[in-house]
Amino acid sequence: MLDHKTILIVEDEAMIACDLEDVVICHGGEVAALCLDIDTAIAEAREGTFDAAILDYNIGGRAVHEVAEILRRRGIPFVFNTAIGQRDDLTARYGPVEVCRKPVKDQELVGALARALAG
Amino acid sequence: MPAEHTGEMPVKPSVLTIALSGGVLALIIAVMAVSLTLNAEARFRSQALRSTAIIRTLDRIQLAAVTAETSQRGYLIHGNEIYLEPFGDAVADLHANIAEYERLLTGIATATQQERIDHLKDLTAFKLQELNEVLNLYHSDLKEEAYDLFATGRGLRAMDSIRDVVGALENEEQEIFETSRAKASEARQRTIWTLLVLTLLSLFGFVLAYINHLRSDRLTVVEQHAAELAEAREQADLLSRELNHRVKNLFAIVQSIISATGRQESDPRIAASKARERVHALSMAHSLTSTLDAQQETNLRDLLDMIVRSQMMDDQTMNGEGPHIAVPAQFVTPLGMILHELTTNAIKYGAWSSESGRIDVRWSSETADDAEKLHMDWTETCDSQQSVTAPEKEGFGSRMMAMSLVQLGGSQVRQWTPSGLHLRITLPLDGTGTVSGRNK
Repeated sequence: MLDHKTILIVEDEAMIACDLEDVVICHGGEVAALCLDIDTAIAEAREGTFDAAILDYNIGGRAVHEVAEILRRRGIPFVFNTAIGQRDDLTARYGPVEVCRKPVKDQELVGALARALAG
Repeated sequence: MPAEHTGEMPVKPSVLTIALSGGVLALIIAVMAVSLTLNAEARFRSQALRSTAIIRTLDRIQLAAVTAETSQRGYLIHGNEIYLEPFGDAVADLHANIAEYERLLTGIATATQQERIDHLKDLTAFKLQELNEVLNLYHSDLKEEAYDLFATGRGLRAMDSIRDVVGALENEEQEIFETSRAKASEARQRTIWTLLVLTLLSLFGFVLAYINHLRSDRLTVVEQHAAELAEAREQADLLSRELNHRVKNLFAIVQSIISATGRQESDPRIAASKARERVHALSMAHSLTSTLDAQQETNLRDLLDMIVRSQMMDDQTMNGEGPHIAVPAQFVTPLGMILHELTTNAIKYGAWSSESGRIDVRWSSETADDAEKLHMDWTETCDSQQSVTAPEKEGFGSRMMAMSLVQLGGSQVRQWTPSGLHLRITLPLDGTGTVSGRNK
């Protein structure tokens, strides 16, 4: 389904990051990088080569906006995977963006990623 | 456009200011009323003295006139000179008292008084003239002519007229005196009422001020209560949001444990068992912290007891030694998962796979280059007869451990010896013996 697309994962909870990594791989994608803190994520967003990104909203107490802004400037699609409910805030800020609510089903997340990649 | 607020409340005069101004005003009015009364009283007193003097003078005028007449008549009847002795003094008295009377009334005589004074002077002059005429005739031995003149009754009528005028003047003076007394009494009465009203007003003002004071006290209490309530509600909202976030996050972690474990294990029963153990470890770890009672952190020793020691068999041993290291709630999951995987591996492949194996956990903190670090040594010792070998493939557990260490900003050094695993984990601390994670 993800068709060898490379994905950046930004998630500060190790257990969930592991799972996301598995989800991407199991659905035919590849993990470009896995970032557990915001500084690494910002560096990857600037320099990294990948097709799309999964962004947790709250990374170690900091909002992920800086990463999302960089990706938007670079034209790289991304989906939010977050436990905090601010879908309206996110769509107000980023337009029609895919927002998955934790806990999320594998298919839901992969579907969102596929739509983001297609759009 | 709504009017802009300057941020300043319009300054309202305080109750104290109002009460003070009212009090000062009342005092001024009271002083004025009392001084007016005293004035009226003083005027009345001086009027009383004057009236008394005036009435006495009028009496003397009449007495002098009567004395002069009496003396003249005594002389006419008896022909004895001795009767004429008081005559001269009486005439002098009469003149002196009329002058005194005029002096007393200078400037304050009413029109009728002035008219009557003039009339009185005419009458006394006429009377004295009549007396002297009769006396002169008598002295000139014209006794018959003198008696005739006397008998005309002119002198008698003049005397009656003098009495009438004196009586009228006395009455008028008495009236003036009474009017003055009435005025003084009225002023006194008015002052009593004024003071009474002022006293009542002051009392009313005091009561109002006191009620206002009580009400403002009560308002302060109500406002304080409202502020406390709002703060408590805000606190509760914050707590509820935090709790909500934490629960969702934990569900996401549990879901990840289940799906990741399920993907790794081909046997669903093994997968279920492993997933259950991991979820159990997670719940044990999190039972040490609580959002509700603000227990936002636990410590390394409690985590070790809760996750590692709880899986120890009867003859096995675990020693934990080290200083107090605080673990904030956000790092309980990765550290708990690391300890759980280490324990699971020890039971499966390591020291606790033998009946009396031993695990030593020793930790210490160290500060170098302004960075505090935790070193934790996990040393397994098997029974002497048994030796262990490193597991062949690195499973999901190892990957998860490595990832958890990344989350904690830590590192590990693994070493397999024949007696078991020796592992050294290094984690960053915040300088006060608290696990800080990599996002320090």
